[in-house]
Order: sequence, then C-alpha cells, then structure tokens
Amino acid sequence: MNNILTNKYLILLIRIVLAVIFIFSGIEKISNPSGFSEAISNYRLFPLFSVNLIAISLPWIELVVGLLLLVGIKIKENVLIINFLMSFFILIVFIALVRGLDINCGCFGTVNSQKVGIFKIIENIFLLVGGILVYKSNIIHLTIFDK
Amino acid sequence: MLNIKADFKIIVAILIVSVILGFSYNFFREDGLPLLKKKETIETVSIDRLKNDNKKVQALKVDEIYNLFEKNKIIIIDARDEWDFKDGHIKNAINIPEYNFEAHKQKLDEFNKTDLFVVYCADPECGLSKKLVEKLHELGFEKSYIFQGGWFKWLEKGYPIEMSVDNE
Repeated sequence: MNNILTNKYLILLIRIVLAVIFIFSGIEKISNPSGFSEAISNYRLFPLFSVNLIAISLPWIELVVGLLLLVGIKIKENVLIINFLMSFFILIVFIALVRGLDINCGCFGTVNSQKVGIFKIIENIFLLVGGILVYKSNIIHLTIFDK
Repeated sequence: MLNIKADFKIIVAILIVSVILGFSYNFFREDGLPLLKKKETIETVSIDRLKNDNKKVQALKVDEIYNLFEKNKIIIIDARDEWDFKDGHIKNAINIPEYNFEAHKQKLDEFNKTDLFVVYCADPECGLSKKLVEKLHELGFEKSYIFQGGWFKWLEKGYPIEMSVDNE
C-alpha cells in the first residue's frame, strides 16, 4: 500500500484521470440541462421541486472541482468532494438497480446513454478507490506538479 | 509522514462558488431550467371538443379510445421497444419504438396527416408516448394524442390485446 501512496506518477495519473472525467461530465451536463434534469427525475429519489436545483448546481461543482484538481489546486479538498460525489453516485445507482429501474445513469448528461447497471457501479468503485488513494497520498506532489 | 487533512472551509468555499456559477449561468442561459421543477400536467381532451392552440401534447381517455378502436377510427401506436411490443400489445397497434424512431417512422407512410392517432407506452409514468406524439406533431400528424394509462390501463380494462407472431 505504501508503494502506491508514494508512487507520485501513479497518483498524478489517477488525479488527472479523475479530473478529466469530472470536467467532461460537468460540461456534458451543462450543455443539456433539461436532459440532465430528466435523468435525475428518472431515479425517482428526489422530490420533484428539487430536481432542477440539483441539475443546475451539480454539473458546475463537477466542472470546477475537476478543473482545480487538474491544475493541482487544493488537491485534498477537491478529491474529497469527488470521493463524496462518487460514493453518492454509487449509492443511487445501486438503489436504482435494486428497484429495477431501467434508466440512463445520467453520468454524462444524456449524450452517451449509459444505463444503470452493475458495470456502472464497478466503474464508479474504481474511481472512488482511485480518489481515496489520491486523498490518502501524502506525497508533497503539490509543489512538483502544481501549475 | 504528515497526515494533511482537508480544510473544510475550502470545501465549503469551492461548493459555494460552484453553485453560484451554476445558478448565474442558468439565469442567463436562454433555455435555462426553472428553479422549481413542476409536474407537467397533460390535458385530457375529448374527440368531440378538440382544441389545441399551442400544440401541447394532450391525452384521450381510455374509454373514448376504446370506442374509436371498435369503430376503426383511430390508429394506435405502441411507443415501447420491440421486445415489449412482441410480448403483448393493444390489438392492431403498430410498433414505433420511441428510442429508434428513425428506423420505424416509415410505417407512418401509409397514413394521412388528417388521421387520428393515439400513442401509448407501458404505464402512466412512462414518458415515451409524449415524446413520440411531439415527433408526430413535427411531422404534421396533428391529430396525435397520448393514451396516458398505457398498456397497464388497457390490461386493467380487459380490452383486446394480441402478441406478435414469430416472424414479425
């Protein structure tokens, strides 16, 4: 475990991958607000009135956090936000799966229609693990790779 | 090894800034979302008293649809996918899956723009029928309505159904 945490190239790679995914995800959702709003409704988890509040704010959280993470600003804080988001996404996809909802996950807006399913959960778990590694990694990589 | 913890004040600041950006952007955007999402109510109309000024999607009642069905005065379209259709559909319905509209829309060629259509999907919650009716309106089939209760309601009423034969 220590090897992973001290391998600064691996940590950097994971950080960049996470950042790019969230930037892309944020942009896709921002470009199609009504599509994303519908995707959230499909989960039948949130009260109707709150759906648009989520649809408006979540993509920008993803975009801003992704950008900050990419350039290496406040890495700990941003990757922690990402880890919470990933945990949340894993949870809601799991709930949708258990309830038998055959819906788009809404992961990248509705453009690349990925369905809710076990693979989506597995993908997200990998991302969460990566994020946890980045968080726990105590390499002072901020000064080396920071821009 | 230092165990640097995250500064929660920074996290809150990032979240606040992001949310502000989000709402600002939405405010200035032409197709921005309304802050409070409301349930879209679909108006139910009757054949005898049709009026549609602003091209909204409207619904017909199940009994009226059945009457028209019996008199052969209405074309029923199933908006669900081919497999659901195959497993069971309203008698004489044609299948135009909403998810693959382009591939199936030529089935409409045999009809007139003045014909009466009703579109259904699985249940009152599914949105496929509304989307399909919007597409029909775009193509000029103005007398297109939805059957809100869908397959679920039709079954409940015990109205005629059929399944596909194997080579369909």
